[in-house]
Amino acid sequence: MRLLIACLFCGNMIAQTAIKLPVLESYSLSISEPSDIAVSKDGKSLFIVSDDGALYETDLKGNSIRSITIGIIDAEAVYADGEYVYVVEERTRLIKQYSIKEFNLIRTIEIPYQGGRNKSFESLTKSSENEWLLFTERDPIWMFQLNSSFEIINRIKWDVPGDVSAATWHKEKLWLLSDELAEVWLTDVKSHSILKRFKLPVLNPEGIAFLPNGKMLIVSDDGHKLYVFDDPNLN
Amino acid sequence: MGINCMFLMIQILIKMRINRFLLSLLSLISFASKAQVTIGNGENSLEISGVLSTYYNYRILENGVNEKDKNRFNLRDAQIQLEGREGKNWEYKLQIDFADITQGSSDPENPGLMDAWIQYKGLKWFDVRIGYGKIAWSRSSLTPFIYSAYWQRAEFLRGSFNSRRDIGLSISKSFWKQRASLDLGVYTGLGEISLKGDNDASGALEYTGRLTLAWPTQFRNREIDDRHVRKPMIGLGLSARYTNRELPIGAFFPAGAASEYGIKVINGEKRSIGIDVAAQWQGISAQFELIQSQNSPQDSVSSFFQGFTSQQTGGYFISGGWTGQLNYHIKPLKLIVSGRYETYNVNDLLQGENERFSSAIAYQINGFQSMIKAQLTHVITSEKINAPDWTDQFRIGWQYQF
Repeated sequence: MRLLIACLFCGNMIAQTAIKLPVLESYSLSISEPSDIAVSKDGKSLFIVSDDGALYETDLKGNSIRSITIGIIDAEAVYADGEYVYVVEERTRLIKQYSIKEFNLIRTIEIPYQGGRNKSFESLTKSSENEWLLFTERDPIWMFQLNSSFEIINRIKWDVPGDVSAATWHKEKLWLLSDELAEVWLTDVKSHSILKRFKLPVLNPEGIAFLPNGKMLIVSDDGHKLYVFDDPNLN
Repeated sequence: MGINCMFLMIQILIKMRINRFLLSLLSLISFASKAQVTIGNGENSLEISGVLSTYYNYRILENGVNEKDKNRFNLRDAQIQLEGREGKNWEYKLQIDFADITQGSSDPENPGLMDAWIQYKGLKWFDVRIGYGKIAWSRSSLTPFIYSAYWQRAEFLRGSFNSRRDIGLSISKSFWKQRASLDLGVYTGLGEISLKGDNDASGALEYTGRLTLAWPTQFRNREIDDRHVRKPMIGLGLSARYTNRELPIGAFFPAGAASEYGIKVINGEKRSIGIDVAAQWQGISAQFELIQSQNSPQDSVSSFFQGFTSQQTGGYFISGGWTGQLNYHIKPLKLIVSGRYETYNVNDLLQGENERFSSAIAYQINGFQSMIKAQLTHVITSEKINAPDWTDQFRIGWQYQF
């Protein structure tokens, strides 16, 4: 009987205790339903996407510098390199590539996925091995590995509780954000497991990025806020 | 009272030997539902999903009552749901419950056709929806069944006092960073019976409105804080609806329109208001809801007045009630426990009120998508009319969303 109860109730429990992170600063955003954030390569501006179908470039406090209507709704992930910004639309499974200089659309790529309409791609980042990592949100959490041409080369299931609402690559490690648990996870991408958990005092966190100085940025979708935290590696 | 209810639930479980059955069932379940499928072409998308649920119902009857026909298994849901989006501005939803269509059920809590509407989101000021679906009225009614630990809503919120669904046109707008929203609608006014076609002979419509406010962020229609939010959240809802129906002499409402208590649609003026509050923090959540309708029959000697004169009644009677519910989500055990008190009055001109206490416990195999739920309802007091012939009702079953 005890074994049965243990099997029933403890299947998805995680061993580590989450470390609570205090907020350093927070800024109200005028962007409706911000759903992910990326830092520009020079670290001087941010790119934020919103559920109402717009891509914004902002200063480091979230004030809009310029924006473009991207013609899609439910944009859930953003990634920026030196030349381009990539925006992922969850429902249509599209990745749109924009020129940072011109702020215009360069190309559109479709990544087929037949899971739940609202349980699809919410996170995009690039590993130090130059592979794209594209995550589904939940039920199940898949990590698609794509080459530089956005061709799927592998697919790995992450058996972790909660959801994955954003991903970013920082200091040779993959960092994931769970909206459902309001947690940031430092992970081992090879064993697809969680190394450390950090608890956030944020409602509905949907986007994560790191500044060059190591400070961590979180955007809250429902809260319409940008939060700044110390580098979790210091904990 | 709540603890007594829990003890009674346990006693019934033992009596029915359901504990062994339940544990055996649980031991077989090692999979979780993750089967929603979406098809799309990069511009349009269509999601196919559904719900299956079955429960066993057991009643403890009043002394002298022998009809045990409600001690049975019941297929509550066999739903298919199609939700689509065309481009940026068009959405549609079709949701059918084959279990209820097969039974020919017009139960407003669990109808055969659940949603059939299209919505346009391309206007600057508001979204427009037309078709058949839930009326923006009552937080409990708007909360999807699968997100509740209960098998049944509070009696006066199940659709017998005021309709839950109807055919019509509504507009909605959210503002203040989605912390506030406003819904306005115009409907046939016959509720779920509107699907039969014609309006009643009065030709009147029903008008509805609902304003919601939330802090610090928008508050979704959910009863359970399964996310264990780290900041207290609160949501307030204010609802109102109005209809004035005047049947020609000799005309009647379509069969079933007045529903179980005969007050859902009346020949006369009906003004209703609703107030609801919901709060959640760290796994604890609570809901309060109050509904009141002022019913003014056209006929001054209507049987609703119970023989009182119009000077005594003011020409109207009141129906409605209130309910309070407290829930706790025990995350490590994947359990939800809940208690709910409700009191309602079909007609304030009749002596007495109805009081019930319900408790529920749910085990989440995979969140709300796959969940075993048990509910015990105890009747504390009843009005003289429409009194149930049972004192306690126990339900246990499994809901599965695919």
